[in-house]
Amino acid sequence: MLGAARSAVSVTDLCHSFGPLGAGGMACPVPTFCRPGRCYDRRLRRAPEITLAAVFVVWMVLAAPILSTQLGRSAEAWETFSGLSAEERDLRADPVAVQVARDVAAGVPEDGCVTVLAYVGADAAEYYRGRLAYLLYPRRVRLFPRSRARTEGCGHLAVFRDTAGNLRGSPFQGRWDQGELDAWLETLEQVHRGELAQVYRLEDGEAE
Amino acid sequence: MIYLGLLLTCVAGWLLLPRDYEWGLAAKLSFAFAAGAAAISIEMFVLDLTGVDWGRVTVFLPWIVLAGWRGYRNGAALLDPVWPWRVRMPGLISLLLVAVVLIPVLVWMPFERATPLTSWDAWAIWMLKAKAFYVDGTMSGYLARHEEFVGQPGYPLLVPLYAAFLYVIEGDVADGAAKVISPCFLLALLGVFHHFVRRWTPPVPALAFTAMLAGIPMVDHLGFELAGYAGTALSLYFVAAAGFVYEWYREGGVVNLAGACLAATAAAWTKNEGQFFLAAVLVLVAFQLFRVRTERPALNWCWLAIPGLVLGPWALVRGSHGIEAAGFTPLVDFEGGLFGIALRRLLSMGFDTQLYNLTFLLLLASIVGALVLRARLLFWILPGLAIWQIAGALLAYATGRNEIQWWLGTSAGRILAQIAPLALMAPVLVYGEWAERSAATKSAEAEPVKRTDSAPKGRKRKGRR
Repeated sequence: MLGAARSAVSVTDLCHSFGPLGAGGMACPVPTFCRPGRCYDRRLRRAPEITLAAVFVVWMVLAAPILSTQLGRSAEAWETFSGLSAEERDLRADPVAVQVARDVAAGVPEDGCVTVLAYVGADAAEYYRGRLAYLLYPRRVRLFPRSRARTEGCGHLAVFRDTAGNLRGSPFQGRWDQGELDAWLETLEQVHRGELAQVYRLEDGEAE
Repeated sequence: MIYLGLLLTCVAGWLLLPRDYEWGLAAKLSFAFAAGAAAISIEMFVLDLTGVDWGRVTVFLPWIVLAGWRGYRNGAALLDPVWPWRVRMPGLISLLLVAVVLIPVLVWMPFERATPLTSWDAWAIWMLKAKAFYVDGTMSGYLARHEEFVGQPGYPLLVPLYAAFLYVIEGDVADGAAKVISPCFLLALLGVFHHFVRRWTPPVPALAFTAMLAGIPMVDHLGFELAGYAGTALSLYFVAAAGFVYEWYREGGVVNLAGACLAATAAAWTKNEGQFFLAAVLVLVAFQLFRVRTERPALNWCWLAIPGLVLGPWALVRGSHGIEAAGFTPLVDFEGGLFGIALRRLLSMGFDTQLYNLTFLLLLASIVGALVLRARLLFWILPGLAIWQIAGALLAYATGRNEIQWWLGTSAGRILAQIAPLALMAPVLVYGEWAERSAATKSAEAEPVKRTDSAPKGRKRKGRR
């Protein structure tokens, strides 16, 4: 059977053995293989494997620089965070929000509520609102980027000012009257003085 | 203890998998993790609805009972194909390709393990729910307070409840450790993807395609840098459901039918995009059930009820707290202008090789290739599902209430990353078909007597119901 196969293709193979144009400079017949309804160029029989290999190589060439960059980022992250406890990693990655959360948590019980007056930019306010809600759960957290806010039903008040670097990136756009705030805070009992946030106890139902 | 939880997830999933199905060790572990995570999240949901506290004993008890029953029924065969002497060693090229598959994982893993939970959606949505559920010991505490939070309380619960399970095992909110679930979902995605492509192509091309999937930058970004998101889990269930649907159309079999329905349900239980996907899968399944006569039609139709059993109670719970499912209402507030903006953005991102390598280019090429090869009708299931998902995303953007540029900027990359593994399945099929026809050419040349042999192998499998 193999002999029959050889003899079946030997004419075109012989022709091609003289070069691309065949013997005497005449074009060789295109070697084809036919199945009902369609003929295929036999020279393309390795085309799927070659195409896949080419795509694979291009794919890897495109992926390599990105992975190389990531390798550097991974090494940097490992150097920064390895050997630290989970709490220390949180603080290193997000120092302001985590420190404020720790300051507030020290003064507000888990079933408590805290209104946070934050001297922060508009975008940052959204960030801190979500971040503190996560870090301080199950405490109820309300955050306002201004020096006055309604505090009904909330037992604690916290005040903090974002870092100068963060404020440069996201400038404060709210209303902040430090004199008025200081006057108000003097009437409240301070329950915790943290590194970044001060926590005060409010009389229940106190407004502004 | 988090790692023990991951191990137990695989054990739980393993107990759920059918014994008489053809899969290798890596594929079975991948399916076990996928099934285990989904089943455990549903178990947590059911326990909460029935008022049973989430404790280690209450969570483990059903699995201990199931393990005893399956051990009694199946004995040592339950461990198939774990026995080391049954695991076939791959050849050198395959081993090299396995290494190529693992390179992105090894490059990214130190980054993921070193960094704490810092990405917005992780702590604003998915892991916030997980923390709240664990701290409160129930879902209702968070759901009752949903208006306080900037996250999306109406989003589905697979990832939050599964992470809450890990917290129960740990006995604490170890979010930095628990976000390892995203890389685990990614590894399972690679295993499940390889399982299906191995059925459609020879071993070396199957590994090559899996290595290509592992090297898609945004898929890795979603799995490792955005660990704690639900996107990678969704990708996994997309690929599993699409693969099972295709296999069911091709070969029939109740395992494929059940796998399609369960995986699509898990997708819908993971993210809202999964509900859009589930609708397509259910239509495909129903169409085939109508079209083809099966042995036990009533039983087969029952699989279509599975999504309702899981998603129905969640919709009721959500509704009872006045929580809406998502921030858009498809087809109601449609705006053509938004659709155009979103389409241009998705196209420009999709063909950016820095983000998705050649994935979506190959999807297009596969469609052209399928037309040239006159591929069977069932081929169109896979590119159809990928395009369906992209269309769903466009519909959401065109009917959403968010500022479109901001919304696209914060989500389009992830949306496409979720679809990318699904989109890569169609090129595999076309390659498999092309290679099979070429192989038929070669073998017929070697054996001219068989030159008139008409259909390639795959076609003969049709109708093995």
